[in-house]
Amino acid sequence: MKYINRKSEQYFYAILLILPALTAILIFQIWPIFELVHVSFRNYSMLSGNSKWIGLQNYIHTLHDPLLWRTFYNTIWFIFLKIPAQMIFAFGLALLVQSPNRGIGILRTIILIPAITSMVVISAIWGLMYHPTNGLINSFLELLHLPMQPFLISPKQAMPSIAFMTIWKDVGFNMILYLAGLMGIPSSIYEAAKIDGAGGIQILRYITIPLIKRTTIFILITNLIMAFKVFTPIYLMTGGGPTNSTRVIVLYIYDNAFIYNKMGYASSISIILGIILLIISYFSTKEYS
Amino acid sequence: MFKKILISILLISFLLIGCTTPTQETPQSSPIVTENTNIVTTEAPTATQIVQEATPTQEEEINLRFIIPEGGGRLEGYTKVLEAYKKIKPNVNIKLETIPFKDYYSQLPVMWASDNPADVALVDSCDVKYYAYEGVLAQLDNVFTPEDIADIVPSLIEESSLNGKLYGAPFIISTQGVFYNTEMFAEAGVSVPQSVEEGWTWDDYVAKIKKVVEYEKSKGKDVWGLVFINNPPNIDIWTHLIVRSFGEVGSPTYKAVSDDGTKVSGYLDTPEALEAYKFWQDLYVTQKLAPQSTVPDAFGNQQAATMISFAAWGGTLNAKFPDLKWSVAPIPYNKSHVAHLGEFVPVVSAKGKNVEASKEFLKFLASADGILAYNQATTMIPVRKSLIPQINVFTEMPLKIFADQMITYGVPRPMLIGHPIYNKLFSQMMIDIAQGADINTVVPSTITEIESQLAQFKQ
Repeated sequence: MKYINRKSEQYFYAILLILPALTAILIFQIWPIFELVHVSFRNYSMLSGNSKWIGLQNYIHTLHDPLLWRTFYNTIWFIFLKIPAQMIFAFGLALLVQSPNRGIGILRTIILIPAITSMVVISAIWGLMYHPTNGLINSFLELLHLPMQPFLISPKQAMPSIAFMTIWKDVGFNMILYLAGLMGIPSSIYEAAKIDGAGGIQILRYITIPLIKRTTIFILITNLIMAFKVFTPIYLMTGGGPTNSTRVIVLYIYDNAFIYNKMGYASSISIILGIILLIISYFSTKEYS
Repeated sequence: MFKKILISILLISFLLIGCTTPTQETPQSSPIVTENTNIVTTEAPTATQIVQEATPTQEEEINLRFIIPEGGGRLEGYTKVLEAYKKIKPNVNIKLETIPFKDYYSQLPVMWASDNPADVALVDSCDVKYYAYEGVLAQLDNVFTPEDIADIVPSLIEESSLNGKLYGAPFIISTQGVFYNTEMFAEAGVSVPQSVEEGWTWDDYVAKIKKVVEYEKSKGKDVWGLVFINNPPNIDIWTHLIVRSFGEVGSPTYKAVSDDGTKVSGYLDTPEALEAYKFWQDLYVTQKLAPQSTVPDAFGNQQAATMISFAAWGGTLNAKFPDLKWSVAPIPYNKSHVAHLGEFVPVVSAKGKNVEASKEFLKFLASADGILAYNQATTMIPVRKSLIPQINVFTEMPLKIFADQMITYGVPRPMLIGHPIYNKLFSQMMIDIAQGADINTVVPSTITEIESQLAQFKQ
């Protein structure tokens, strides 16, 4: 009896302690998701507050909206440009700064600085650097007698230019994760491989890469989710242009919600995006575990 | 046991405190806030009478929030108005907040969707119908007398109304002009029209600025022929100056949108409109006379020969670039003359906490005293025709051009309920064209998107 009382007392305090966090999660995360689902079945004007039940119409409209499919294509193009290059660079940098040489701490910090800087600030600075006539990069090209490039105003170059900027920004954080993974590999395995006569490439291929597979999958999942949700640099640097070449899903959701005042339709696209991210997370987690 | 109970009570108390809504006003993080102060010397008997008649004696403190976009001398102008108002209504405290211009249009709907909107806000006159349609604006029934209405430029009243009811209180008006660098034009031997009657055509204008640019180049200096405040401009007030003028008055090109405000095919894709888009693209892509991305202060820094802008820009140029020699030429034309009338118009939030006090403030703002107080700091054309002769700068060159142009050729922008959406999509199309997009692809796709969005306003 005494044991049961103690147990229930422990439960009571456990619940009491998690109650503040649980309340915040319920109010700011769970309830908005239910509200999102609810609004996605309605024609809802954020300004007037008028709301009308329209069933699946918003979801049906997504199937016939060519611009939505264009934004999906653009988002996948962004992911394709960003993630493989970013992960390869991050892995290379992690290998470079892995050894505890003198001054390596400073190098790690320098690489990490863009990752901890505000995306708004970075987008504004890179926007100026990419300026077609007065930008730093084009001034440099002009100095070298090379043709100036329309980085952000050409439909072909805008997305790669933004992807390059985000790689530069995010590579440091990925590097830190890889570094943690590399440091978790016991040095005895490397020593045994060296005794067996394995070269640098062989060690990398048969020991390092397989042993950091879980880290790689983790980085891949987080990068994928972040890249699907890209908004800030595109909103600030191109606004989705030129000719919709950088209009990504989240920007389209934003436009529908806040420019076209179609909160219901924006919610339905958000739900679809959420489902895509859940599927990606499910399969990646399965692989991870 | 007592300890445990005490801990539980403390935890629950913290939780409750955390969930309680704070009673004090939440500080604003992003906007710059300017509190008005008492420095004014203006006497405003007319406005005093109006306000006192409307609200007998009201001694309790009233706090209002007023948001405006940055730039154009607005902060200085409205600060003067608030100082004058404080003299006659000392119990009304109005907090003036500015928002960066490029974010202003997107922040307005978010603000009105919230439960704590600013009491008074500035809205582009073209967008008043949209916000009135969505029910976020208070109707301004007693702000103007019939005599006032007769004195005000009619198109501004029309733009600020929906279904015959007024939702905005126009008090100043803008039209556009070509600011030009007098030294550059004189050195290149290029003459400039001095009155609206002898204006350039758009082709003449391009030929003249080209001559100036080439002359400057011969001296070893690269300058742009033309700049706007943002390049390429992101508001239709600028781009429609060219596109609409390629059509005859009353033609579909000139109208730009159907009478019911929901159809643009047959208006934005006429042969004349396509010709205008080609002209626009050539300015940026072929002739490279205008920059494809904003160059800050290009005209002020003498990196551009001309700049198409508002009258208020003159004050900005004088303040920031005192050595610059500039004057103003009328807006060029093609088949028709187009000088857009319009301006930010003060409105009252329907959900505001002090709707009546806000209306009283608007009554003062739109009165002769309010307009003259604003003009102490920032030169703008008064929306009341009777006041124009009282503001000397508009009776003398170069700013006389703006007043003359407004009276002779001033027309409102296309009037439609869905203007904010139309403006966003049309302006993006013009930016794309300026940056080299294929006109035959981008125009039809934009028309489809505009019509699909405007369908929600079909009556």
